[in-house]
Amino acid sequence: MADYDPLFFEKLLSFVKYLDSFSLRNITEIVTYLLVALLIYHGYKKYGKTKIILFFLGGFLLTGIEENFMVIQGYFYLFGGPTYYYDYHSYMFWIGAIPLVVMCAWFILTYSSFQIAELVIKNDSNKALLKKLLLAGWMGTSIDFVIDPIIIRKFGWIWLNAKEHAVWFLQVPVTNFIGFFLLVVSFNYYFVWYWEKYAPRHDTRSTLKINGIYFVMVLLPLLFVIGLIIIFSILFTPLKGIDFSWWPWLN
Amino acid sequence: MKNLEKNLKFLPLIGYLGFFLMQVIIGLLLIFGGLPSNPTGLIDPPVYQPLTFLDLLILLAMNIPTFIVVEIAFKKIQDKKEN
Repeated sequence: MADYDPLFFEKLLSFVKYLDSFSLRNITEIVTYLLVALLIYHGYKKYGKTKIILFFLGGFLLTGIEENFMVIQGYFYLFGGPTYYYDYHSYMFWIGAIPLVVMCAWFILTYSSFQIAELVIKNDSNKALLKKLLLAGWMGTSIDFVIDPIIIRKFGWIWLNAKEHAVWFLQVPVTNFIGFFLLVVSFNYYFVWYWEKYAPRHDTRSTLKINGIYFVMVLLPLLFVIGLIIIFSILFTPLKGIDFSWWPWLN
Repeated sequence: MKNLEKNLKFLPLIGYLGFFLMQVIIGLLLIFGGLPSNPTGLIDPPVYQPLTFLDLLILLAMNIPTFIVVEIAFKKIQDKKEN
């Protein structure tokens, strides 16, 4: 059974964990950062400097807290045992237990999926917004179906849930895909709602206050997603141990 | 920079497909042995069934609806550019 890095806790707060993580295989990290720069440029032109920075940092905060919470609570067996962790040797830069590149990848998928959905669905009605959100969520999750089976074989991250404690699809717990879908949908909805509904209604407040409240309220989608994941996890209890992967497990 | 400005609307498609392509390349490298799985520092690493070309094709096929959406978005941008 795989286990956390022996220095998991000691190195938790280091921005660089091991020097052997700087190698040619990290070229994918550099490409990811370049793609982030391209999308931030797109957002700067479309939404302006402040909003795109807030989108990026809001997503950073959201995924940073959510993923760190999931990994660290698993390490301490807070809610039923180990969950997953990222290999400390595989990535260059870290925020807690999560590689920086993972948060950047999340930004790429969340932002680009919603922008593509906006291109396809032009209407501005509430119904159209719902369609855009669902389409963006599905597009983000669809890529995740490719990422996960490949990256677990590269030991980029390691799932530690006992087989009988999860429902598996592609050798990944199904709640991972549900959580990803919900995060993309809820964060994009939050961004649209905040800047189109909430901020205009409170335009007497200072810019600093409006931006500050944005960061506090970004915890709402986070709580929503964590709550739903817990509910799904409970609902799936009778199905736990079922494996929809076409690969046979070797251990 | 001017080119980037001209193709601004394509950037989300480049971001999305670029990231997707990167995963496919990693998958291909894994299949053909160009990217050795390196479980450095892992105590008793999990053993997975190796990824095959057919697996990758199935994973890509699962994304066909997504490619169709990207294609529609691409055509819409081009139509706008032409008009």
